[in-house]
Amino acid sequence: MRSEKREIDPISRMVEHAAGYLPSQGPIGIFIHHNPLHHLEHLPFEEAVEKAAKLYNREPYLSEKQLERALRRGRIGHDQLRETIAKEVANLGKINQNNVEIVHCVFSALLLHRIPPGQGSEFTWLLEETEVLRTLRADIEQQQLEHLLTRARTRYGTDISRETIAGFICKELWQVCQGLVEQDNLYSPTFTKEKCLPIDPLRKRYGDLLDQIVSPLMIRLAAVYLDQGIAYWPMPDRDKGFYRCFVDLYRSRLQNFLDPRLASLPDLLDEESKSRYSSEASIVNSFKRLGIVPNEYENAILAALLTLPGWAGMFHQVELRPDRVPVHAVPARLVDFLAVRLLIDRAAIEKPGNFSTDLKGSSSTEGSDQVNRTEQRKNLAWKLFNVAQLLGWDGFYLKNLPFETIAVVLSILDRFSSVQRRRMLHLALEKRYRSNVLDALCSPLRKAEPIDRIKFQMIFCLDEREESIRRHVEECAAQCETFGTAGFFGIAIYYQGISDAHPHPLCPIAIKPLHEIREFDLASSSEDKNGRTDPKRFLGQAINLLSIGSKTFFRGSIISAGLGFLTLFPLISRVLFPRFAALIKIQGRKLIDRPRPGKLKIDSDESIAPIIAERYGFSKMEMAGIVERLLTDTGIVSHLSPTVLLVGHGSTSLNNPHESAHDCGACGGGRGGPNARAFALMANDRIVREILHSKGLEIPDSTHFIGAEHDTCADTMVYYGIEALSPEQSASFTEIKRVVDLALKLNAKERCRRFFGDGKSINLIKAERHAWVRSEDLAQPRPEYGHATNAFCVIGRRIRTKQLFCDRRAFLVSYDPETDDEQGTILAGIITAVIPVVLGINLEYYFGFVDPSGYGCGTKLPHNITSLLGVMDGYQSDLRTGLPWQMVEIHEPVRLLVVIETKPEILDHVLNHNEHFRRLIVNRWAFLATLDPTGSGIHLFKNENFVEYHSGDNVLCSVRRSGDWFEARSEHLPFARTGDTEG
Amino acid sequence: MSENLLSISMVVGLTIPFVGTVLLGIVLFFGKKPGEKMIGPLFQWLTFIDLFSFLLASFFFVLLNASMFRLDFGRWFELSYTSFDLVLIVDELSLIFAILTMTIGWVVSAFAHRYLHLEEGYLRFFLLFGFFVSAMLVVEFAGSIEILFVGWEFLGLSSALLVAFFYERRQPVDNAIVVFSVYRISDAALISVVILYHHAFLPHHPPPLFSSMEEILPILSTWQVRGLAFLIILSALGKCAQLPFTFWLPRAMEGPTPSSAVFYGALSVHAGAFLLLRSYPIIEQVPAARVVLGLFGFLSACYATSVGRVQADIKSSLAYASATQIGIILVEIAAGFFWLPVVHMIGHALLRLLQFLRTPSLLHDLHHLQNNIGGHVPKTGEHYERMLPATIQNKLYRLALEQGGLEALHHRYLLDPVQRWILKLDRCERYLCRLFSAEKKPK
Repeated sequence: MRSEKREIDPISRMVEHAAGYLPSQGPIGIFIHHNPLHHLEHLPFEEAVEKAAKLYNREPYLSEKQLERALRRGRIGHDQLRETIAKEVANLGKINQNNVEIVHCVFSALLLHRIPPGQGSEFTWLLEETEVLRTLRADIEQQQLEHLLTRARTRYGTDISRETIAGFICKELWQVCQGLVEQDNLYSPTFTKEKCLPIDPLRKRYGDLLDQIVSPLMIRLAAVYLDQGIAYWPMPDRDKGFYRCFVDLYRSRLQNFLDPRLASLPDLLDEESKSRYSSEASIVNSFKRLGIVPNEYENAILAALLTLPGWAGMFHQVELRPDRVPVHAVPARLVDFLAVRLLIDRAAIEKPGNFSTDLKGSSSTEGSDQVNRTEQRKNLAWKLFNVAQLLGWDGFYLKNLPFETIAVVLSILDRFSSVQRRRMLHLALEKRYRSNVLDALCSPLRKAEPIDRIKFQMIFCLDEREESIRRHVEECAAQCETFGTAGFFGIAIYYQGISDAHPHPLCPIAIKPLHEIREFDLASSSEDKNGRTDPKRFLGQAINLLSIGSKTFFRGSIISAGLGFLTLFPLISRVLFPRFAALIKIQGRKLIDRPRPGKLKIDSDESIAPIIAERYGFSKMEMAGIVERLLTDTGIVSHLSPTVLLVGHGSTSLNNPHESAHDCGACGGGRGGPNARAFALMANDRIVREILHSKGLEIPDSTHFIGAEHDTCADTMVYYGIEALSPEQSASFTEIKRVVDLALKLNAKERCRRFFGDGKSINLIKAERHAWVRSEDLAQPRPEYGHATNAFCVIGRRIRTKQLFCDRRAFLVSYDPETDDEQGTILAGIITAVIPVVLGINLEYYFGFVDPSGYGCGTKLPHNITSLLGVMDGYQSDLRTGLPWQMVEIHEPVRLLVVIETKPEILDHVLNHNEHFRRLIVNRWAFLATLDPTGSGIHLFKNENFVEYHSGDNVLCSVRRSGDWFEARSEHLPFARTGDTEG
Repeated sequence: MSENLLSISMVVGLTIPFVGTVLLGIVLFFGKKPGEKMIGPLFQWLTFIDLFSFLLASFFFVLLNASMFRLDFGRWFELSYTSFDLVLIVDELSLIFAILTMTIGWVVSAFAHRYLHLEEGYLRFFLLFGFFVSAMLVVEFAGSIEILFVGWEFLGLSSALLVAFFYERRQPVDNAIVVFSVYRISDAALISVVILYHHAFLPHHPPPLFSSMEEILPILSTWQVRGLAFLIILSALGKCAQLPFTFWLPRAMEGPTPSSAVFYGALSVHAGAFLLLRSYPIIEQVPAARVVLGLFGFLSACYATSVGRVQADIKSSLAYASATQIGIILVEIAAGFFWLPVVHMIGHALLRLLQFLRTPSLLHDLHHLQNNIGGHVPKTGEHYERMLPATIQNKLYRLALEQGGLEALHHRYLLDPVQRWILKLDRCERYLCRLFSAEKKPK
């Protein structure tokens, strides 16, 4: 008994450890952006991505093809390439001074030109079917080419045709190359066998065949167990837990008939059932029966979970956060999942005949070392052959190079891999963008608008999609000032609107809210207790009955035969005339469902029982704390204007399982409107203001806060609490609304430039309409581009980024260094709240782009919503987590650059007190720089130190309005100054 | 007058999609890639014009006041003992289904144009879709079983190729093979019909099957009619995803959503029912065949609705819902109705098409539904728990979850042996290749 316990305990620990390697995305209805490699954050970025690439079989960087396109388009600068090479050379260790020049040239040739792989079938084909060994490369630079040809002509004679002479050069060069690599005294290739990560004993023995038998059943079981309401008949007895449920269900003797490959399953399960194992004990038992020894457990567990990482991850997520599950939190446990998996594995293995045919093929890759060695030499010769051509060396020249030089070149070539090439090019790409950002930010300061002229202020989410609308609002009204902050406005709540069935969390994922807030219907007295008008409820029930009924036998036949033809109208109107259909829908909705004023109740109230959270509502002191924090964080408190608009955001789209991935990241994949609304209520509250007054924080009586929600897909804005405005406030609100409406149109236009890849120009009205129709179109897989192109984050005063065209690539967080103390207390708070969200978004997009089908969930087109928790590809597959290709396709994967307006000393202090943030920066998951609050100096964080940045020679273009800059252009745009009055 | 106009509009309607598709195929064959901006709207217009011409044709057909109109394109070839006539028939059935096909074609080409925007396989989709629409028209207007068979084959091929649309992954290809294997059974049954029919008439030339029932029925022996009827039913059961072949339908959901919608919700899956309606005069002669058809339809409907109820993914759940309704449609046909199954099929095709196209909206729709109802959507399936004892409940649930084990049977007795054979042949071919090409043995 004792020994058993000793074996069981580590199992849950190991499972917990392995769970770190699973995707940590929860149910798709509340999409959380996070770093897919969060468990590797303790490693430097490059090391982590390359390790993950091997572990999960994924791509670490952009593909060679994409990088080549970036090179052609000038997204990778030659200066940056040179710097990257210099760094790489420095890492090589000691190199004779004479050779440094040559090494640089070699690297530059390797980076700028692609050399086909020197082994494998492509190479065989190249040698046998093409003229690579008889003609020069087509991409040799003119100078080098001339050099090669003239020297050859002097040796072979001047009257020979170019082709022939190229043939001579190549033949000689290839011979020399082959000769050189054979000389062991020159350089002997480091013979390294590709180091495989430890694979588990099961798959080593049975290969993929095992998964082909087991996975389909596993997928089916996981889907029905976690199902939130797609299946009409839910799995019986789910409350017993997955393992028990499975054992009871599969003990019946139907197996041989249903799937003979798992015929021994009932016997196995009988035994399990008799011995009354816990899941952990069952895992240990399964391992014993499978002949896996305890020191292999760790690998075996990880490998078993990684066969279906999406499903295993979802089990883990449901286990960890049952509050985030849409309908029915089933008692899912990852150990159960593993135990079931191993049982089915055992059944598959025990059945004779399952693995008879394909077993021997798997381990035959041994091959003799001798063959590998010759292959490797040939590969090296091939690389040398290509590089020599690119550098303008012929065989004669190569032969006469000093031995030492050749040895250095060969050692570089030998180690140079495709991954290294991609890494270096990628680093150069990021570096170029970084220097662009920093150069744009350190250009001279703008003059601030006098405070007394500011008529209204708007506080937006820091989201990079709001960058453009802030710019447009400011361009439309000089007397407006905008701010950015995390879009939950410091209010962490579970929220249930009138239209919601149950409360959902609205705050960053890291926070588990304590408070709950509900919206109540004002006109509820004459209607039923939920405050829903009868026709609406009736319609809802009718639709539900019809949609369930249409899938059944009798009701289905009556519905399809009797009413089916009516679907012709929605079909034609929805698909062919989406705008028209949407207008009709809105009119129809008005008929049955008049918009009713809902009332948000934010005060704590003992009489209302919270559904999920601990408490209902906030006390006045808590409210004052929230208001104080936001007002001081943003630095708005020193000069509040008469009207302050708080704008949360969300996104509406049809036919889009990833709809919530477009919502507010700071609200944990929810919509920020309720938070903005609640904040306005708090800040307008008389008692809250009095408390603040007693703390010395003055809110003028003339100042009024209004909450709003921006739909980033349709580009529309909803305002809350307008009816309660005084006539005076109302007049100024009308004025503000006019400005915002214009800004929304301009924003729609700016977004449209990305939708039309061909740089078509479009007028404002059409743009507004187009953006709106996208949100209502059934056939539209790209209602909006979400966070694509996000690249950097500025924490500082708006004045540092005002009138700068950031191309919707910047997260802008308001922070006034002048109000902060020497320890950077406010800054530290902002960093803790903001950086995880922003970094999660940035890295989710990075990985979604570099490996769309590995880290992302591939193309949307075959997606199949399963269990209401996620999507599968087609009929059956692993649960696909991550972002779909349609959302990331315009992205440029660069790591986040965080620029903070503060002094390096202060930031250093903050860093030292925030271990997590520091680790991320030191390991280069993001870059960090400071912007001098008084001047334009920039310090970059490099190797644990802040180093002064010397601005490059990037000159900003000046335009009058941002519209002039993006008009009829669809690619990534450089920075520009707007508001140029002369131009 | 109306006869000529009818012929003209029919010829226009039949040639347009075919010519459009073949042209696109030729262009693609030569490595040119026409832009999306051209192809999408082009197909939209083609299908729209086509729809219009079939509407015109029906107008003239009504004017003509005939029950059937034959379009004769002469004889393809003739041997001493047999011949193949190129005959199309225009009647209520074919016109209604042609109009349905083109309406759906029109809607779906507009949908796909936006939905597949920037997708690598955009042109491939439209090429296959064009082939599918043309094949559907051939099936609908075929006057003889041979012509119908041509359309039937293209239908299966385009369908299987669209299942394997994302061929860079393994699963779609595997599933396309499953689908294709069932289609081959169905094709084999149909070509047996052709052979049987031609044999029955030896040494005379057989008249086109569908256009001349009155001529042929008295000539055929009872056994021959029985053979024809049962083979046609077998062929239809495969294509309609009825027992014992139902398992292929959810597996076909690997392609892009619009192709799943049009094939397995709307059109292709109803082709078998159409074949039964078309050849009903033959089936009518054999009461046993009607009983068998009705029985299979009914059992399939029961089976599919039970299996469909436990599916936790939306596309499988809809696929089984389709199979259920088609089973009922087959029962209606077996019972001798004509208009009922036609109306049922049209309604069902349109309903399912919309439901499939909307599958990605499931979460959005659920939220709206909760909003309207004012709380969680009522739970379903509780009566199973109430009414059934636990052991039976578990057994039934398992049977439904594993789709009754049909797939294991199909694999064990059909697909796997055939695939093994094919692999053997492949090995044989490779060996011969090596032998004759004198390729050096790899080290």
